Amino acid sequence: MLAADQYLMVGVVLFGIGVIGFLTRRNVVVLLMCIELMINGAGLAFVSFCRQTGSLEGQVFVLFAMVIASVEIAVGLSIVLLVFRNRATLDVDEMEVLKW
Amino acid sequence: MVEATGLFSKLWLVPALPLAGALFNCLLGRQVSNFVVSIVACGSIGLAAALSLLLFNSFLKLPVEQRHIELCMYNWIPSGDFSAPIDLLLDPLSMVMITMVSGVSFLIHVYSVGYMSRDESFARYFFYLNLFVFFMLLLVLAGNFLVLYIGWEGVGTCSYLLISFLYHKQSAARAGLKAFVVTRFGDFFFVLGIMLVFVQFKSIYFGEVFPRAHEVLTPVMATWVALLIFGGAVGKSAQVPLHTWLPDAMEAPTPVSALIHAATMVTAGVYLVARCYPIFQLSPTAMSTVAVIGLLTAVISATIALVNNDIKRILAYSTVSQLGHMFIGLGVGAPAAAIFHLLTHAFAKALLFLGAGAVIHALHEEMDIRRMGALKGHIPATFWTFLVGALAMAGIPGLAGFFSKDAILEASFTNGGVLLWLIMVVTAGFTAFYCFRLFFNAFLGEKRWDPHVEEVHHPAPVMTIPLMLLAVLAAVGGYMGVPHALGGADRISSFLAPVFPPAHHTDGVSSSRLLGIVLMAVSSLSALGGISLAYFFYVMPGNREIPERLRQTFSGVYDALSNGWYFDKVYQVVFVDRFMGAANFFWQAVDTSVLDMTVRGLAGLILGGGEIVPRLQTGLVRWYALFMVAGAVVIMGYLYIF
Amino acid sequence: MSRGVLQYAPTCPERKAKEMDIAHWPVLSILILLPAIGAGLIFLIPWTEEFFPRVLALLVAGVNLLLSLALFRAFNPASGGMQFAERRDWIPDLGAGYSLGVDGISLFMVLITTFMVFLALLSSWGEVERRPGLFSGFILLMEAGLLGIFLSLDLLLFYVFWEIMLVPMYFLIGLWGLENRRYATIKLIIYTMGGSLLMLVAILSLYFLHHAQTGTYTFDIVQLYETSVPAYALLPMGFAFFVAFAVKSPLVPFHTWLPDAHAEAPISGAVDITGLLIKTGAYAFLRFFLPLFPDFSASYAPLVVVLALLANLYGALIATVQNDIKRLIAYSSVSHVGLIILGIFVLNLQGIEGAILMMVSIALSSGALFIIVGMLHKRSRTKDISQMGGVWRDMPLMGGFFMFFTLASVGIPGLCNFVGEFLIFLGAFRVNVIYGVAASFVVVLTAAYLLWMFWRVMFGPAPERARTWYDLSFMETVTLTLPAILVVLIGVYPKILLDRIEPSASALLVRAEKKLALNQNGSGLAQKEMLKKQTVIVMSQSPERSEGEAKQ
Repeated sequence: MLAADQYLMVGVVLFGIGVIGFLTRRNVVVLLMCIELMINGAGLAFVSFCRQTGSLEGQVFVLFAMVIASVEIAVGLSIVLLVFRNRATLDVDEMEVLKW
Repeated sequence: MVEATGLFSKLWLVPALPLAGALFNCLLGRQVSNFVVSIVACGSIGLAAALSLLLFNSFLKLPVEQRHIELCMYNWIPSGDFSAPIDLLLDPLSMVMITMVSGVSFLIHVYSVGYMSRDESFARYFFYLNLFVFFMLLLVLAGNFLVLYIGWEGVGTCSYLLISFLYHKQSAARAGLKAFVVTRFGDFFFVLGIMLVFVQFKSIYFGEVFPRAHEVLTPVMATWVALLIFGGAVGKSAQVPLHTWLPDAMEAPTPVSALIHAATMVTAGVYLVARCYPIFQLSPTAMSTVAVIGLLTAVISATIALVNNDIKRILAYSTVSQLGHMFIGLGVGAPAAAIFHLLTHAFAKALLFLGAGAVIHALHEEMDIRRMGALKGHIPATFWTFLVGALAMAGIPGLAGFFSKDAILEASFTNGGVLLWLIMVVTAGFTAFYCFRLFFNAFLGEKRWDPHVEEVHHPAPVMTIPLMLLAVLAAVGGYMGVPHALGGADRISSFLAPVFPPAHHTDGVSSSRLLGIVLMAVSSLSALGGISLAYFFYVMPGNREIPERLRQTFSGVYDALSNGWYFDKVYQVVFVDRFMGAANFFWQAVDTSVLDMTVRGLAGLILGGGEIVPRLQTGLVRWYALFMVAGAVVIMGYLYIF
Repeated sequence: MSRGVLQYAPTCPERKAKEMDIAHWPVLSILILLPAIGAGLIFLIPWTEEFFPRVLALLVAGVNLLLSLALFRAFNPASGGMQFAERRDWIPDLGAGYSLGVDGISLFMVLITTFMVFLALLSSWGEVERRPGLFSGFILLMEAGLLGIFLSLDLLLFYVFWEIMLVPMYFLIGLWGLENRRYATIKLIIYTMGGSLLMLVAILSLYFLHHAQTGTYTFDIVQLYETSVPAYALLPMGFAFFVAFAVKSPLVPFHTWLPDAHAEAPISGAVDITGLLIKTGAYAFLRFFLPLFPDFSASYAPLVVVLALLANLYGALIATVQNDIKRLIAYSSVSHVGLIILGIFVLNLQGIEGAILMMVSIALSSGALFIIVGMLHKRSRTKDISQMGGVWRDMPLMGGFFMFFTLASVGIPGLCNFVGEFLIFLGAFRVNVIYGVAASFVVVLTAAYLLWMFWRVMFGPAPERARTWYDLSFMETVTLTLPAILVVLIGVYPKILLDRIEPSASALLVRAEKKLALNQNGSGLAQKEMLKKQTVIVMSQSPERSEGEAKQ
């Protein structure tokens, strides 16, 4: 089905933009936004498969993913805020204390 | 084979009594007085000796063919087809041995009570000594090879304990260790011999092995078995090349030297070969090896004894030499003569050692014969008994040593050849010389005592009475074997005859009576010559510098002799040092280097890996993301391709 | 749950175990659980007084000792099969069972374990200064693990106990050890873990192999005995088991953890237990290795025998030049272990019986030597032989015991080690004269280094400070008298042991031979012939044996 393929393409593109953005940008807030893009790309893929197969599980997953994404953003942003208060930076490359 | 009945069923008491005495002194010896200790120690041995005499009496009443009594106690090591019970065997050979061992032990125990009276480890001494007698009696009563081996190792252990008895002396500890390890080296061959016997016969009973020996063993195998067993005898009886421990063993208290290192334990090797005689007979090679080793030993140690100055070491070398004579007797096919010599030697040598102990005691632990002299007037009882012992040892006609030595000499002449006989006659001269060199130096001549010796210790009666009893034995002991040549009946040979297969043994059967008498005369002359030479050197005034001048002239020979032909030095360099070197090498180079380093290397590898791998965890979030993406790509690629 | 006698050796007709009281109890489980519970109590209850946990531990160990003696009495000596067997499902989905049993081989391992643990607690009574209660707890845990190893008939269960053992060992050496204890502990753990992981792999391959052949998943050792290992898997699997057991034994060249573990464990009791630990290796060879891989054992026996002989010689050599008395005795253990492995791999009755006797004897004689060294250490605060000397003067009683156990280790007939040694020599000699010669030669060296050690410690002039070294206390005398009695008993009347070992040992050989016959297509025919010959000897012994009995 042509339509499903197109939905899928959009999802892949969204996901790809998210990945590339995540890998190239250094601002934490931008990274969070890129994660959001990836989640939504994946969600779109779920929904389009769902439509293709005519089942409902995919939509359930998407709903779950949206809830989790919003929670994640809430937690993530608060962490970012705390980091910014402590270290006065939003550059992820400077947040590297959690290493070996 | 006769089951033990009547008095003979009490045979086990003979070794058990000394064992009981030993246990008592071990467990309670420190709690009770020395008097109780000595009563228990001497009493237990005395009872054993009395029982042996009673047994001997009943034994003589048995018909000859029944003189083979076995008493099985219990099955000691049963394992598959192997079984080694504790069983005792009483036959003429073990009969004379237990009588001699328990009798001489009793006398020496009594003597020890006086000799050791001031020692603080009195109970320990008698514990060891009783234990020794137990093992020795077990050794000679053994009915199979493994029981014999219990006794064999047991006497070795007691010997070790008694040599190291004065534990604070490094030399004593060293001598004990040496004695144990050197004899253990001999025992190594003996154990192999026992196992070979088992593999060949599927049994280790004397009663099953010896009668079947000529059927079962091929000549080569007989040689192997005999030589392995002889290896044990060489160690225990201090034959060349394993003789070096015995002179050092003189660190033991003197009564111990008398008992263990003269009369009993060291003769165990002779007993062993005599016991296994049916096997030795099957192998001419083994027989001649026994004779050659015996000859070498007799000559080498007699020459060393000529120049030694330590009263006990002279006697020790003399013991080694006489043991050599016994082995010659065995090797030339006269086992009964060897056993006869064993008995007379036991009496004479025990007497000499105990006398030497009295001398040492008298002069406050002086052992150097150069610092003795003129003791005749001070300790007359010792003087006279020692004289009897020395004469018996030298082989003066009429005394014990004469008959037994001449039995061996005669057999050597008939079976071994003139050369062998000639060497032995010369050695007999040596024997007489060193015995009397010792005797004259100690008892006659002028006083050369150490200045600090002011007063001579007189031996207590408890010491002199055993000396006198032994002197009597040394004087008349030979009459149990007066040879046919002198019109005697040679009773000892006929008594022992059932033990040794009659087909081959040639004891006392000399080619002619005249020849026998001539041989005796020559050897007696040789002995008299030795005594006269000693008298000339050490008693006749003004001749003392002659041996001194001889010493300087032949200094090379003298050095070799006084160093015991350098056996100890060679062993030290060739075996001990090499061994320690190898041990150190393996420890340092292999154990702590190669093996440990391998383990540490592995551990280091893991540690190093632990240093490197975590570096991947940079802490950079985007780096992790890249890994995730790369991983996802790889997985998807894999799924796509396959 | 089914109790009673399991049919282990079809050739040996079974008789029902004697109807004794304990035959109705799950006595083996009690043996294992009792010390485990004791240890649990000690760890979990916050004791205010160190005295109580120690008494508790001693009590538990004592009860266990009595229980094992009852087991000994109720044991049917005529049977070569498993007695008092217990079987329950453990993880049924995996085919893992909780299955225990005792035969003539493990019986004496159990006895010596309970005895030595009791002795260890007794000897450590006055010796442990820090947290003695906790110390006793770990010793009890150790006992549970050891008994588990000796009694389990299920490979997974065995593996679990095998690993559990390391925990108390780790703490015993790590917490109470001397200066270098961390090194020693980690070395011990790395070595044994390395070996056991290899073994786990091999256990699992056996497990799957068995499934492939029969369609059932099981860890039951009796069923796994029947698994025929294909030729391609034989070498790696056999090797994995071999290394695991060889490390634990320890066989040269896997031995270097032992001297460190022995030398750094400060408390004589702990060392004692280490002595037991190493018996598990040799035991596992007998229980698992020989019957599981008879082909491997038969084809590689000459190699293993040579390795064992080397170990025997090597341990003796290195022991000679040690200055640390504990290391010296540890290396003498290495040497003796070589002898035990030799006895096992000569694959005949005398060798195996000798090996089992030897395990018991060494546990006794070396264990007692370690206890003595611990007592000496308590007084002199040194392990360095050159710092000692002349000890006999001030401690004659200890000197006597020291001498006694040294002579036992040297192998004087009449004391326990000799019987085992001689049987091993005989077994080796029958297979190959060279083996017998090499093995018996080391005895000369053993005498040399042990008596030299004794000389350096006990004889000679005493150092001045030795004046303060008091002789044995009453408690110490009792501690040493107990093993001394056993040493003499086993040396003089080994029949008690041999009678019970023999049926099991011959059953073991018969089983190995049968399995070999099944795997006729494998390699190493010559060795099989050899093994067969031995078995024939085993089977034909009975008439001669009874003749020997009748002789009495």
